[in-house]
Amino acid sequence: MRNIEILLVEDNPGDIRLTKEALKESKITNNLHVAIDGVEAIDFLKKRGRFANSPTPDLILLDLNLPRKGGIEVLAEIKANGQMKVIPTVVLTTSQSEKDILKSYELHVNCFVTKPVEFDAFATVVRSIEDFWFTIVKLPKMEQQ
Amino acid sequence: MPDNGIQENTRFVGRKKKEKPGVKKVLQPRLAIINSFTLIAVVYCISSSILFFSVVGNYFLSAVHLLALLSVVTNYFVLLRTKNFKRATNVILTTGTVVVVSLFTTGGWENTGYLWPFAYLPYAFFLTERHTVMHWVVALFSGCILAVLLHIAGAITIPYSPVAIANFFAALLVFTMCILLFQKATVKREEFLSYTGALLEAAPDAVIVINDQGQILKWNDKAEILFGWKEHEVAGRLLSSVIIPLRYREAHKKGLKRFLETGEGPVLNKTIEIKGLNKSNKELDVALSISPVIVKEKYQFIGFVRDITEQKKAEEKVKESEHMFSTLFHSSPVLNAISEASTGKYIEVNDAFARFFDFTKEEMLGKSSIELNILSRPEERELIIKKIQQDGFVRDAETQTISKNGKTRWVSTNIDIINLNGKDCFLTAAIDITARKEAEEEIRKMNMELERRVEEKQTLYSSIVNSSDDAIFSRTLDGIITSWNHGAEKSFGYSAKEITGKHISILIPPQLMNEENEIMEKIRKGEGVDHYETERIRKDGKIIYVSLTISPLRDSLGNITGASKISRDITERKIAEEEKIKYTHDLERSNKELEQFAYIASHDLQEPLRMVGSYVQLLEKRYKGKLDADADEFIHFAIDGANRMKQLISDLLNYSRTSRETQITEVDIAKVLGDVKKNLTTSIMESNAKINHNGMPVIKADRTQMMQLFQNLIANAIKFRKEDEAPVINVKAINENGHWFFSVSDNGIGIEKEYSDKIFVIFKRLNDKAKYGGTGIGLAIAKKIVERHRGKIWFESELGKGTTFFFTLKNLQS
Repeated sequence: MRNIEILLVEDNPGDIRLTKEALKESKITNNLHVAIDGVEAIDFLKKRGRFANSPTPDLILLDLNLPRKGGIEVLAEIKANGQMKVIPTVVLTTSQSEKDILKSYELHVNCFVTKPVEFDAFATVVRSIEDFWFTIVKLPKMEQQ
Repeated sequence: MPDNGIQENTRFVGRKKKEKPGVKKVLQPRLAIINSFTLIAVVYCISSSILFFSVVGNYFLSAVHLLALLSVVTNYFVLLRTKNFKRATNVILTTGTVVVVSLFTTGGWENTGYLWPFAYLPYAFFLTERHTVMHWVVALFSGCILAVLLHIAGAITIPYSPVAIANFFAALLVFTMCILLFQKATVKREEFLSYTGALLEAAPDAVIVINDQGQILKWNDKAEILFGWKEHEVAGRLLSSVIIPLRYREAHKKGLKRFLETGEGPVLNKTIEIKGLNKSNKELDVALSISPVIVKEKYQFIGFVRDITEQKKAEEKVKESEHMFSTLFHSSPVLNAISEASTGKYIEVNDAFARFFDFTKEEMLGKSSIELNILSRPEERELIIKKIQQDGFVRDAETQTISKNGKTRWVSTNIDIINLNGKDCFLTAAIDITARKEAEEEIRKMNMELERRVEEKQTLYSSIVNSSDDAIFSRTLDGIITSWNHGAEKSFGYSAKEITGKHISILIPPQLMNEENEIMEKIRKGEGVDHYETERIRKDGKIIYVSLTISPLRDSLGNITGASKISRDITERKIAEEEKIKYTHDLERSNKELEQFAYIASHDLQEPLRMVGSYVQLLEKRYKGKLDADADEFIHFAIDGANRMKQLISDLLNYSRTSRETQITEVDIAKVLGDVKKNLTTSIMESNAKINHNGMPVIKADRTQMMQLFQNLIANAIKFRKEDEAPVINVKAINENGHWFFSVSDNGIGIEKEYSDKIFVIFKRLNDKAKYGGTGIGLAIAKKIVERHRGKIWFESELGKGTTFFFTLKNLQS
């Protein structure tokens, strides 16, 4: 079994580190790739520029509050793209706004998760996401490029 | 002479009362003629008889004259007795004729025998009818001619020469002619004779002639008409049986008999009114006058009868009407009096009149109003009399009177002039108008009082108008200002003097002239305008805001002539209102900003807080017990702080969200409470709390907020429970005028009074943080929710016994 590739779109280094720490405690071996804004996220997904050799992620963890290109825009692009839209995309944000939640689901987000304040809770959430998407759910086979 | 005769006759048939009754006097003129004629005849007869006897010695002629004398004298006495002139003259004429013929045939008097006719014939004309005279003239001629023929035949011998005879006849002829000519001159007498017949028929009255037996001799047409009997039906019948009613017949007979015996006739030659009877046995009222005449030595009676039934009826009517008027006069409640115009003395007064003045009738009669002293102002009487003299009457003269007993009263009087027995009199009719006068006086007083009050009111009004701070002024329909009070001077800056007579448009901003015209249209229709807010220009050009109350002004006929305006300067209020609106607006904006700020702040605060919280936990997790004890304690405080901060931010977020999002739907409060109980399951179980509610309504409200409200209150009640007692929470609801009135009561620790105004303030905690926890936002949110539902929230509490929260909710429309 190959390593799971996860793309974290997150500008906050604290959160990036927390996510990494949380994933460390995971049973599933994974490679975490980070895009620090929406533009980088799209470049990564389209393997452009320095991301030309990047792998296609198995899961996207998307923050909404991003510099340059916002999370909602990124989500819209992902879900509008024939190849990218099959990638399970989880909005992982501090926002609890109903508006954001609704908007995200309208754009076919796979699920919307608010970041818990406590680390333990956060770690649990991240692990749960991993578990759910990689051990419970059946996903379509993806052609590796 | 003939005229006299007619006059005498006329007088004879006349019915003048003045004439004394009796036959003798009436017949005297005629008797005088007879007397003189008889005297001449007697003298002639005696002297001729003596002459023939003693001088001539012709005894035959002497005897003839004695016989003639005898005839004349006899007839004279018969005439005196019977008053039958015809008979008397006939006898005289016969005698004369015999004497003349005797003279002629015997030639006794030497050709003078023809003088005889001259002696008596003219008298005959006055005494008898024409044809009778002619008869005797013819007899005379015939006798003389016969004598001549006998002489020629030789049977007798007339002792005259033929010349003398011719002379005689010529004289006789001339005489006859003289008679005929004379007759012509006396035709009037004849006419009179025919008059009597005509008179009889043409008389306007019924004329009836009866004889001394009471039998009807003559009966003219009028009598036929009056009584219905034809002349031939009644001729010869007893008058009494024909036209005299049974009950008067005896009296009639007696009267007739008495007259014939004694010559006394009290009913003769005067008019009496008696009853008559007509053919159909109906009684008639008739006026009768009877004159006796002597016909053929016997009395006859000529009766003139006139039907006075109509006259009687008219008289009855007059009597009735007199009676009626008299009754009217006397029994009327109107005060009636008749007084002499010249003296003013009362001739007649009615009971009402006398009673009114407390006099008896007798006391008043013969005295004048002045003498009786019944006029309060006697001098007025002169004026009234002058007016009567001028107009002939007085109407509704109002006079004050005094009665004998001193009662003063008012009467309204009508006076007319009437003529009574040739004297001018005043007919006075008066009615008592004291009550009306008093009422009028009362009304006058009331009017005066009213006027005084109106004046007072006007004074009051004008002082109000003058002292009012409001501008009060008026304008005509054409817009000319007619009045201007002190308030208006202050308000608009113009003095009354400068603006009166000017056009209203100087007060109105040009762009608002239309508005003024619309208002005036309303005024013309009689409508007013209340508290109309608009702008006006002051004298100094400043715009002021005014509230106008405009009413139509009407003249006494109710026509609208203009408008009164009360203008209140509301500039300050307007400014204040505008400021208030601005403040409200600002406040709303700032509230919104604040909410936005709170939301954003809490949202953005969460990010760093999460970092702090997460890493401190990570630190604790990885390095607890690996550093020293101090480090462990520090980490513990850091984690605790981060947790509290998290709670605060979360509450703040909730609080700010409450005001932003409201969705009104039908909310079943019972269901809401069910959900709340589910949410609070843990603490309910822990505390063994009991929550009671029933009869919860379905209201229009925001469901989420309702849940939050009840949850906060119930959670609060559970939280502040007594340590040794399980909480019992009662929720109740009452509907009051469309508002819902709820109460949530507990048996908890209660709230001290001094904190009652702090309890709903956000993040205000009253209790020990360690014991009760919480940020103190629950009641602040509850208050906000209630207020968003346009209600109120308050509480009543007793320390140590429990607290009841009350709140009202308006049934909001979605």
